[in-house]
Amino acid sequence: MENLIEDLKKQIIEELNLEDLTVEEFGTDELLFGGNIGLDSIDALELIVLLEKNYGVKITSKEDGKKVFQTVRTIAEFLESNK
Amino acid sequence: MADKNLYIQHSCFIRAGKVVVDQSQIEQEEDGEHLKAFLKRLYKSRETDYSKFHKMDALCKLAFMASEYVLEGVDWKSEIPAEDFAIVLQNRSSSYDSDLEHADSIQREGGIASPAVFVYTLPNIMIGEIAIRNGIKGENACFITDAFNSELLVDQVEDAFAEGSKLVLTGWVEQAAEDYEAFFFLVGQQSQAEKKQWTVDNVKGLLHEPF
Repeated sequence: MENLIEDLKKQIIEELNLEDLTVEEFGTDELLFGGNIGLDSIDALELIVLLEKNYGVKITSKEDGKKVFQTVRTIAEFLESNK
Repeated sequence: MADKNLYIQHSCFIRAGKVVVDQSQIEQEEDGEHLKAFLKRLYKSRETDYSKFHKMDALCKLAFMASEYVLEGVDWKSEIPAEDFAIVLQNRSSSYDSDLEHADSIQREGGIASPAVFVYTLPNIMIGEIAIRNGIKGENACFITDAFNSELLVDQVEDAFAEGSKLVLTGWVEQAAEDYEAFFFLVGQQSQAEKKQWTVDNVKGLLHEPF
C-alpha cells in the first residue's frame, strides 16, 4: 500500500505538472480538491486518464469520482479494492 | 468615434533571448537555454505564486510572463472596473504546438487524449489565463495573422476604447517550438511626457528599437 501511495504521488506530480510540490510534501490524507493541493476540473479529467492508462481502472460515474479522488489514500484504497 | 488620445503606459518585449520592460533590458537567456527553461527561470525569479503556470503550454507561459512584466505595479483595480479592461492579442501559429502534441498523444496513448494538453488547443486560452490571473473581465479577442499587423492592432485597441474600455492589454505572442516573440503594450488614456502615443508609427518604432 505504501509503495502504491508513493507511486501515485510521483505520477500525479508528473502528469499534473505540480512542480511546486514534492513527494515528501504531498500529504497522503491531504484533500486533492479544495485544499492546499488545489486541483481543478481539468486535473480531475487527467486523474481519470491516469488511472485508466496506468492501472486499467475506469471511473465511470461522478459519484465514484468524488469518493475516489478525495485524497491519495482514497485513490490507493480504490485501486487495492479493484485489483 | 475612436479615441485618439491613447498612450502606451508600459511595454514588454520577450524576444531574441532578452526581456525588455519599458525599453530597459532586465533579463537574458542563458547559453543553450531552451524556451521552457527560460520561461520557468523568469517565473521563479519573480517569486510569483501561481502554480497554474506550470500547467500552461509554452505559448501561454510566454504570454503570461509578458503580461506579468507589463502589469507590474499597475494599480488598475483602484481606477477602473474589471469589465473595462480589455485584452487584444495577435499571433501567427495559433496553438499549433499544442495541437500537434494533442494529435501525438492520441496516437501514442492508444486513443486516450490528455485533457491537460487538449485545453491549450486554442490560442485565446492565453487571454483566459491572463484574465483569470488578474481578474480582468472586459472585451477580448485573439487574431491570427500571417505577420504582426500594427494597423489592425492599433485599430482594434481604438475600437475597444470607443466601446467603453478604459485600459487595454495588447500585443503579439508568437511561439512555434523554440522560435518565439512576444511584445505587449498596456494602452491607456494617462498622458505623461515620457509616454508615447498609441499610433501605428510609434508601435513600429518600438518594434525596430535595438533590443
